[in-house]
Amino acid sequence: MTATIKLQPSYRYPNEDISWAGECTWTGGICFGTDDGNLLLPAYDGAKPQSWLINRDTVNGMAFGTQFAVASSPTEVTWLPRGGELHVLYAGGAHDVVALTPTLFLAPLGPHGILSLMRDSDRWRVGIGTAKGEQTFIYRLCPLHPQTGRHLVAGAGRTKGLVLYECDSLGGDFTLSFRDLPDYDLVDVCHLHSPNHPCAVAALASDRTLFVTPDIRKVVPIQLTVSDLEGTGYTLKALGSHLIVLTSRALYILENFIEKFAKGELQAPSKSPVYTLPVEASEVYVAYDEYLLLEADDAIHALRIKELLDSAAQSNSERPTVFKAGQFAGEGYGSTPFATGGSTLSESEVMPAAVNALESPVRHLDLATSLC
Amino acid sequence: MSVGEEPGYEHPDWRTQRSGFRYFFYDKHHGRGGENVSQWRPEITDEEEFQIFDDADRLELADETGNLYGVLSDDNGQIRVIGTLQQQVAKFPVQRATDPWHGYPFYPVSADRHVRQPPPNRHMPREVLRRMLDVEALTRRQYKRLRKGQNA
Repeated sequence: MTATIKLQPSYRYPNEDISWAGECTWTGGICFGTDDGNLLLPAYDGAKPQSWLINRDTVNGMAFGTQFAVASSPTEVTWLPRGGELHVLYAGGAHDVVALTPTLFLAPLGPHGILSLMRDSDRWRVGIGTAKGEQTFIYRLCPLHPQTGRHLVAGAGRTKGLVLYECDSLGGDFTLSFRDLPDYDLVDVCHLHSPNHPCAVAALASDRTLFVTPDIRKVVPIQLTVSDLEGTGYTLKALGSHLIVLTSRALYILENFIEKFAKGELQAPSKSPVYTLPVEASEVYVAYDEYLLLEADDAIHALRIKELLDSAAQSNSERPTVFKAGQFAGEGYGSTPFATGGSTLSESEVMPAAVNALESPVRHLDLATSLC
Repeated sequence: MSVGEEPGYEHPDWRTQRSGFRYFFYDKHHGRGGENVSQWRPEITDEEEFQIFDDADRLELADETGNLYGVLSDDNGQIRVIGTLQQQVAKFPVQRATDPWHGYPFYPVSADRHVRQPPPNRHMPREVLRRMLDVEALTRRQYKRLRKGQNA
């Protein structure tokens, strides 16, 4: 999506504690979820800020249909018709909710599987997929480009590594598969939007290890360790050609990471700058392929990526860091079908692990001068 | 030694500093329970498990019914993972005065629809997380993430 909107540098609401931020289909701007379960629309086009109760707990995810929104929290998944009242879709907690289409949504339920929500005329079709016999913890989901009429969704598993979920256009006939990554606690996954690799994804572990694969369906990911990343891994986002990593210590921008990945340059030593924004943020979101929405203690800061990188280019505070890539030892995909069955995945095409060291300049940014 | 039908052991000398609570280590929460039983990670020692409980009692990290909750920080202030499902908060259900307490990794696993209580009786009581923030058991950032069910 190409951005034509201009966001404020910061959004603060004295009586609301923002817990989620993202694009709003209704307004073409951004919106927020709050600790009290509200959906908050900032003032736009002369309209005053608006607020609706969309959940009865802290909103941790939100996705939009044309005339409704779906929200997740640690205790329930709900939906809100525009201008109406909230309804409970699932009386249990979820860690997020994502839209595959304006009528099909998925929510990761942690150890309880994946919740599928299909809006069909004036009804909801709700299903839960679990992996039988497996102790799984599905934490984050990321839709990929549909392939041959089927939806593909990558997932971060906190106990079973990378997750691959496939379903038909109506959300049925689904399959759940795992690529086990022993000893890694994956906390996020993102689509790399690489034109030549429509199923390319990256994943982040809580120890800051990155995993990258050009095709989650077939290719074993390589492991990347960026030595200068510090703290506990929280969030991974793709924005333009850049990879964004949020940890408990800082926000990192791996400049042109996706472009280098597409060119195969992660398979060999190369230079790649890593920019560091030393902030204490609890979450980062992306909007309109242009903005980072940084959830700070008392506000959401909207940072335009281009301005951040321009600022970084002028910064003198550089120091070297090292990308260490490779040495991944993962099992091939195992296929664990949902109860309703589905096709299984073909045997993995194993990509040789790469071992390389990338010298990368790190520039530290100052939030106060980087706010756009 | 066991409590009722459940095997485990109680350390003969360990009592919480504030309330003098006794503590029982259930086998079922230490690698010998079913897949639906919350498990402590093997690297969490009994001393560390009891320390979480002792701190929870000392800091009065209790919900309205008296259940206690606690976290374990490392030397850098990071909240350690204590459970096999990456839990970072332990729960210690309230006991009768004569009985030993026990605990298990609890959160941020999302609420199970089969056992949860509907809002406003939240799965992980918000007031307890708020109390953890107030007594500086959590940083503001850790608090904000945990209340959303995210890793801290």
